[in-house]
Amino acid sequence: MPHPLGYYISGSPAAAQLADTYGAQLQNMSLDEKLLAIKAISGALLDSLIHRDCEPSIEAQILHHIDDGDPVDQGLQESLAALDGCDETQCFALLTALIAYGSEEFRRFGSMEAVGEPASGSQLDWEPDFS
Amino acid sequence: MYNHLGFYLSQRIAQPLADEFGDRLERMTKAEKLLLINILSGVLHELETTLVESYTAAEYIFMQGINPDVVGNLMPLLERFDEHDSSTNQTIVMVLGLSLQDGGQSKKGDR
Repeated sequence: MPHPLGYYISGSPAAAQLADTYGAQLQNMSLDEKLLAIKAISGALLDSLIHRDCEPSIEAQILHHIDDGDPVDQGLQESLAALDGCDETQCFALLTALIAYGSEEFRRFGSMEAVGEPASGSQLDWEPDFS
Repeated sequence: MYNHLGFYLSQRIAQPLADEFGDRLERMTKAEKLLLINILSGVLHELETTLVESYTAAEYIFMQGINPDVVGNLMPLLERFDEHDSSTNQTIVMVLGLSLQDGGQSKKGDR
């Protein structure tokens, strides 16, 4: 049985709170809804980085999508729009959790914490090159 | 904690991807990673929700009105990603997403 979305968020009480609030809905998304959410959140975060003169908004990203003629479930739209009340750190946490949760492969692998540590006796001999 | 993108790629099916793109992805700024996630997820969403069998990053960028100057030198990489299947590109989105843990702070100084 998959873990709740909050399982994948660690080290941030604020992000954990966010997962408590939105986790149930977000983790029950279909693939296309997840991709839309990832697109909208990453788009807003991108705006906050490279378009300093405009107010980044997840809701605006969704409305732009709807303007293009693609319908969005009303509940999903409202949940994503509510994320505009979250700060950048929270949105990053939710984005990474959403992406991680969407991966069956990741789910089998374990938590985000586990990803950071090579398994004991790992068959991999590849080492990262930080140079 | 390892956060080298090549490490994540090599942990999965994607050793060839790690060999080809790992170092390139590792050098990216947070903004570049977000832009790739945004474009790749947008392309995957189009493929998931429409009947089209292929949809390129260039088409998505044009349809979304994204300034080509913003995409800049990522375009050749995106064109290579166009050659992958959806599953592989989902893996790349996942790897990019994992690299943005903790706000995507880079040891090399992001924007």
